[in-house]
Amino acid sequence: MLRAVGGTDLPRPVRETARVPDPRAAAPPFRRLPPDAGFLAAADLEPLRIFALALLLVFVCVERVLFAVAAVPCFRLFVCPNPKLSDSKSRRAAPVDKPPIHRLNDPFSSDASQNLTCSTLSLPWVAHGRRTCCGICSDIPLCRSRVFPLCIATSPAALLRGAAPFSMDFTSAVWTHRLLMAAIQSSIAEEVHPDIALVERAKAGDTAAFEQLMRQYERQIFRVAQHITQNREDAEDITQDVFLKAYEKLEQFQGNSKFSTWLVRIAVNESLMRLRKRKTNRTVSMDEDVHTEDGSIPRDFAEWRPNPEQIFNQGELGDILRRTIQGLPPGFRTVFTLRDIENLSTEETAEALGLSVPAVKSRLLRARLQLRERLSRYFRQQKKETQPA
Amino acid sequence: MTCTDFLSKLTDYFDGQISSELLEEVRAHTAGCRHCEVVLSTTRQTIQVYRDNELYDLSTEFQERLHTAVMARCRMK
Repeated sequence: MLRAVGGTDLPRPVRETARVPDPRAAAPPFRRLPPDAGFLAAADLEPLRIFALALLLVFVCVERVLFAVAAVPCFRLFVCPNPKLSDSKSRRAAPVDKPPIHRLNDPFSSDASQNLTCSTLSLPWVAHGRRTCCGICSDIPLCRSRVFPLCIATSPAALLRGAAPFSMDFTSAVWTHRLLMAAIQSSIAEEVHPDIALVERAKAGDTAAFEQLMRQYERQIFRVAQHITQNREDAEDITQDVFLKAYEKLEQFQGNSKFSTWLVRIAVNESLMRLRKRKTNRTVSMDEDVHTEDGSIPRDFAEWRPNPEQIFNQGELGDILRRTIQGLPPGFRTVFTLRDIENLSTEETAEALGLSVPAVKSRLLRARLQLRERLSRYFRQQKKETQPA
Repeated sequence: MTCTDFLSKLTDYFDGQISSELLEEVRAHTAGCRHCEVVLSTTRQTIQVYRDNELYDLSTEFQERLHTAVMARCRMK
């Protein structure tokens, strides 16, 4: 039915026959409007052609309305959060450091909660090969699956410019989409961290979702702040500042790292700033005192037997551990806290502190050895005291 | 493997990022070097004792204050 758009059965002006046919115009299944088929040139056309164009216009309008009704739910589900799209609410500056991860829903699924990450769709949808049918999505390589609904919603202005109103068969697209979604569903489910859904809800204004995130990570953030500042009041202030700042800057979180790592990074920066402001501590930077080898060379070779937990009660042991870690330079203390106490990976620690992986490994080794040496004094001494006379 | 080599591999050893050949070398070294064997075991205990004992925890009062303050700001936004 759309073949009529090209007007192949209509008489053409003489100047048209001399033209080299546009290869795109012959591409099945749709043809582009001839260059002179614009409405501005309608006054020059013969009555039959005007009538045909009027019929075409009516047909396209009815067709657009019919398909718009069917396409609206799909289009809404597929509205891309990428700031490049025309949604005025989303016209924020696009982050340029890392590619954004877009979330989208399967518009044909009865389960509206099926959320997927575009980046994980890139392979199957690239193979699907529909990238070129829509000018809007062509610059969003991670969101190629959005091509389909956006093509259905081709704007009237684009139609007047000669764009085909539909670039694919609706039914086959639906089934292809369903098959692909089913094929990749299981692998995708494993990759999406549960925090992502909470963050998305919080971004949409759901404060309860943000409160849940806060409950999950408030203890960790407080511990990190307390370990770095070694001051309870400062740690409490920092914890509050971290969550306030995180909520304000939530749009900047793109999901390229764990949400907890993102929070920890804010906490580390806030803690170091607090140390600098306080100025009562000699060492206020991650780089100060980290070149010292003091305590990093093992000198105590006594074993700890029995275990510290068996020698001391919990309160005593806690005091010893606090006193010992307080003596480390902030650069070592922070790396040890994130890596060994908070159990971040070496890469996450490096990301949170803005250090290289080798730098983290080097500091971690020295922090561990210094702590071992200092603790050994306590536990070795205790061992001597507990030995029978 | 010397004692210095052993120390330089200690972080990778604890993080499980060491090749099987190096792992064998570390084991062979600690089997024959009493000092390095003690360093290995006490460093492992150092990490474990800090993991097992939570040194700082939030007070309930602060938790309530924190939630009240942050949620109030969130709702204002």
